Amino acid sequence: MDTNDRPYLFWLVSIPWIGQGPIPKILNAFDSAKEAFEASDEELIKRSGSKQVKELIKYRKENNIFRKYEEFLRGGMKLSFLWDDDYPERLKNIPDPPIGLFYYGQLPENNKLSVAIIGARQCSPYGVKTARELGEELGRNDVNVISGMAFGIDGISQKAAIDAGGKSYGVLGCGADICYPESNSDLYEMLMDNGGIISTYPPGTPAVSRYFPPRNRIVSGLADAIVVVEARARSGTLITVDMALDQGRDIYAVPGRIGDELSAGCNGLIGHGARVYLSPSIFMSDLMEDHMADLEAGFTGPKTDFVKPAFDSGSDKRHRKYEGKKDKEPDIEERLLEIYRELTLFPQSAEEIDIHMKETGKESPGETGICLILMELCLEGYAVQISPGCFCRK
Amino acid sequence: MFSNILSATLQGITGRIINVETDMSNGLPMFNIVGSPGPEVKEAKDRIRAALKNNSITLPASRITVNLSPGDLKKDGTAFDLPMTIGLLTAMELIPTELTEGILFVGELSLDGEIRPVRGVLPIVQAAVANGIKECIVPADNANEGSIVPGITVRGAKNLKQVMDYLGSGDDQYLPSVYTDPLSIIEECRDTIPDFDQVKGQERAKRAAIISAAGFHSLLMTGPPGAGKSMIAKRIPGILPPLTLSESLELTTIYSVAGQMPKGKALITSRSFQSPHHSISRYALVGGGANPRPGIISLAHRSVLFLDELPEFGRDTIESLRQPLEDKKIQISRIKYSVDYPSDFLLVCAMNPCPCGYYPDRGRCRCTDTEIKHYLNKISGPILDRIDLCTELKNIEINEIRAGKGGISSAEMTEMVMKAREMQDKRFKGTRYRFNSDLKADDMDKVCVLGKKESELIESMYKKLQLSARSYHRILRVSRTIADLEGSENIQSKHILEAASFRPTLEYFKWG
Repeated sequence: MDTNDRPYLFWLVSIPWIGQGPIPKILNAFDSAKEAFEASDEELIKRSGSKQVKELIKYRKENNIFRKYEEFLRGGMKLSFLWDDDYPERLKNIPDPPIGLFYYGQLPENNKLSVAIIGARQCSPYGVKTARELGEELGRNDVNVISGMAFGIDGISQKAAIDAGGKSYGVLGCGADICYPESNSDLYEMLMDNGGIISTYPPGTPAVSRYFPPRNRIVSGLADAIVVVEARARSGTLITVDMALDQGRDIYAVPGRIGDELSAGCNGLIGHGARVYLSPSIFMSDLMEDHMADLEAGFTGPKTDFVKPAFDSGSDKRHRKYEGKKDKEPDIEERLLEIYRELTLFPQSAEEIDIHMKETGKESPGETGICLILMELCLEGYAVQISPGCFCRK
Repeated sequence: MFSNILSATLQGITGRIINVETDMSNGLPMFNIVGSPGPEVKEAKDRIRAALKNNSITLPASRITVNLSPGDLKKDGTAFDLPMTIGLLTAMELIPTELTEGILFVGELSLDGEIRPVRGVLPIVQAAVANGIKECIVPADNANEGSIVPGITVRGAKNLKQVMDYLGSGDDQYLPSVYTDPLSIIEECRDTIPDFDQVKGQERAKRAAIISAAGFHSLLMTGPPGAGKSMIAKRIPGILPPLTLSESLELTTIYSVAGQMPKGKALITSRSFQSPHHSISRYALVGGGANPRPGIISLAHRSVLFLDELPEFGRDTIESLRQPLEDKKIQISRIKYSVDYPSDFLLVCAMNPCPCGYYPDRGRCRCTDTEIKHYLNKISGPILDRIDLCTELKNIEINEIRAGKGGISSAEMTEMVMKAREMQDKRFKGTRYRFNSDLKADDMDKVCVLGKKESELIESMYKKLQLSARSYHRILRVSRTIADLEGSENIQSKHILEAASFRPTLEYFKWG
């Protein structure tokens, strides 16, 4: 497209509340955005056949879009349109792709694998640990991590990926210039330098709840596979999964204990046929197996300098039986080990451990005794005291 | 036509002797009270006039001046009704002057001449003894609390007539003296305090209660609603050692000054449990007012102050506890004077870990991290710094409730506490300390001697648990008490580990 057309295209994507709807209609009806902008009100409405066009008409009357565009350019944010070179290939292939992507930093490379890690904002230590491990593994293997920069699973996995040397992309439900949630400002800064902050909404769009579900399809659209770490039975995370299914993405769910509310969503997904996430390494090998070929074959991106992840796909190990990467037991005294075995990733009090040991016919050193050992485990770095009375594995 | 009667007023928790001088002379008929009287004191003249009239005595139509000396000391309360009346009767020569000499009077009058109770009789009688006064006439309702002071004759008067009959005749039978040997009533009645054996499960919280009572360590309990936090707190006074006589006298004095003495009781003999509602104002909590009165923390002296729902208390209210926690007394200053009220209380607090109360059970708690942080931020760091022990209660299983096993009883717990107290008494004899919790950092090394192994342990703890200097000392103090509970002279590793498991820090809540 003509570069002179960009201010007019900017006009089309600068109203967050009309959504995606009328833009393709207008672009189909007119030769260029410029032509649409210069068309009379009646003609615009008639030819596009969309009611929401009225908002655009109102907007062009009330604002000088050239000045707006200039202000935007000066702001340092970038804007990529569907037909631009840097526009992610993966997104082009989803139904109804967004016309414009506002971003800071960069957009995900087409020649690298990317995985979306999503899950509950209020997560358990189990979710924290899983998200962190997976983020690290992906970061180490140079796989992009896509997520929503929210509290909990999202932010934890993204931080872990960047800390491990990888890149991560945050898709926001507000303008890319707004750090939401504010307390993730450290992650926001990290993403600027090690990945990107992406939004379909123009700068300045406030964080409003109804803008959030539509961004989920961008999260899944940018990824080759989706991992759901923790989700309740009725959860916003599951909206993302629906979108991902529409887009033909692979869904992995982290299994949890039955009865744990926070795992109900994930277990439900597995029941419906989602793939089971077993460990970072097994996931990595599955991912390589499934997507390497697609990447090389399907994408229009430069194939010659395709970056092969450092990870050894280990296809010979591919069909190994699930051995669950048996947790290596720490090298500690037997009396400590006994209590360590009782610990899980779920918070437990000394009393609960005491009761459990008695129920399973083990000899319990008593509540106080258990507490002392738990403190020792904390000092050794094998346990963590997460509240005044609760401990879990580290 | 002139008389001088002894009386007393309160300054803080001590009595101050006041001379009530009455002069009656010719001139325009009037009744003046001078010597910085407060409004209640000024109103006395109407009560006196009516009380005398109803006893068939009419005030003469002369110029009456009553002076309360020393004149620069502000006087309030109704205790001057009786001495002023006696002063008038003496000045009217209805009572011979020599018969009122050396007798201290306090009491409020009703319009028909009944004598009503007043605040602070115990400290007033004590002040009388200290000033060499041999006899006190106090309201009959307060006679018991005055009667425990040795070396003075205390008489309780029901009405003005009794006093006049006694003074007129000098006959003991009109107004018999009362004396109670405090040692005979110090025997504490613990029946009213519920027993720990009713608390099922919650062994760790009970353990924390024992440590807290043994070393007078302040305690914070967190946990979901209904887990039993208040239940445990209510039982703590029952495992503190019985009050000694001097403690009991201190407490009685405070109650007397606050006007909180139970009717007819001579002595406060059991430790109290003060549990103010979180809407309490800071002045009600620490004491104050134009004429200062002791607050809840002074009533909790040598006893338990329980703050339920700690984050709900006003920030100002909680902050005002800082000085009393440090100094064991509260100073209330006014322009002309300041008063000290003792406030050596055991602070026990309870709170939910988050607004809904179920954190860290993420199955039930759906509070966001921000909400939790916001909730915890309501507790100021400086107050948290003064809390030695922190424990978490969990909801207990139904089979535990039904099993009926209560575990350790209050009597057994008291025994353990007493043992630890004896060790502390021996250790701190002749020092400025009473309990391990009082230990200041500079004396810590002398009292908490660590072996090589133990030093290494606490060093690694310091690094790995990221302790601050303050929490390091706190762990040492608590481990000293745990060692005392076992009768161990040396602090061992297990004591340190246990103390560390009880350390309070809100950093727990910042994982993720």
